[in-house]
Amino acid sequence: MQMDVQKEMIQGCVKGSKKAQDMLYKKHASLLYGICLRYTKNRMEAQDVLQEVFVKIYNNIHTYHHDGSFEGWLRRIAVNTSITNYRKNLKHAYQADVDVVLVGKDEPMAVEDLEFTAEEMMTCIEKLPTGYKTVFNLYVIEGFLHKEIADMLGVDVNTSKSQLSRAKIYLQRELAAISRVKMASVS
Amino acid sequence: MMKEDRLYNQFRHTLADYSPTVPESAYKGMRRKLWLSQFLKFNASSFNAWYLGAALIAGLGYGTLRNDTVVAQSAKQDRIDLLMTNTAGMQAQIQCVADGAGAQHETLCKVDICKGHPANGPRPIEHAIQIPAEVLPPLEAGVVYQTNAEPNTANGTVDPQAQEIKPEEKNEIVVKQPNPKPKRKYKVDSFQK
Repeated sequence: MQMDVQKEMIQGCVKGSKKAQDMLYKKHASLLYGICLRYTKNRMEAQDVLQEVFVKIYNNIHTYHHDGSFEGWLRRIAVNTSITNYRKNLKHAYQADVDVVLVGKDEPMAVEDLEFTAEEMMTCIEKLPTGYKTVFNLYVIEGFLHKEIADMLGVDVNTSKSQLSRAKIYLQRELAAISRVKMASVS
Repeated sequence: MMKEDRLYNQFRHTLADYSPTVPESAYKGMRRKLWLSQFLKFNASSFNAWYLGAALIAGLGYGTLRNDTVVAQSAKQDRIDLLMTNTAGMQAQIQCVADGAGAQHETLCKVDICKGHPANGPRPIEHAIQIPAEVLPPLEAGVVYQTNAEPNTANGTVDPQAQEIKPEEKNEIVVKQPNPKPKRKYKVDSFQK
């Protein structure tokens, strides 16, 4: 039943029906916005990318042939658009990578056994330089291999690996800081 | 490795379906971008930038063409005026001589107009030339041309229309246009019909 509704919605979008387009937007905008937020520097940029994502979806929905998960197809468009956006701003992102990230000598606190909310994790990811953030998202959340990431971003495989490693250290520190604040507030 | 996997898994499970609230302004922006993208894309069934471009080019082309036509018509009109008032339906060859000094000679479309004194005197007319509107000389607006010539009736080929030119009128050809330049007078040495 739900599949029929989705099929109808997709067919409506192919025909250019505004009602069907709005339905698709209402249903999937939040999820795709979440993806865009993970890859961009701020909410404004994420909104811009989200708009481009939907324009691409509406303009290319006729190429979706119902042979795979529709949500997966939407996710792929969101990730690809975010990568395109990253590559467009690559110069500035590289500058930020050099300027912002300071990897210290201290061993980061173990945070693997602690619980964190999605917002807390997003706060940490948001603070990552764009390059680290992109590699981290592609590797950890989307599940790409370093070779694939290197091809996508036009960087060396070792660059991808080192950026992931630095991102991990950075995130561990940020999460540790959050947990310390939480513990202090509890006690 | 296990620790690393745990951290990554935590992020993966928590953020894979992370769905924050989308600001309302995003929808309006998306609609704007969608409209623009569809407007810029060619689509035979709806109005878009391609049709607009074609319409603009067509309009521009028509405007230019019309402008040219207006100029041509205006130029042609001068000639027609001239024909109507002075040489309508007649075979004529005009040679003008300006009142002042300094000879200037213009040869235009089989019709000689000489501003200034002719260097070699009036030209003998070997045969009359039919002047269609298109080939009539572009006489200057507001300039009064005069002719002293009598209709040539010697060869008996005078067009009956020639009779329309009265003796007192045949000596003056006025090119009519709005905002005429100050009038100048020319003598026409020969004006044969």
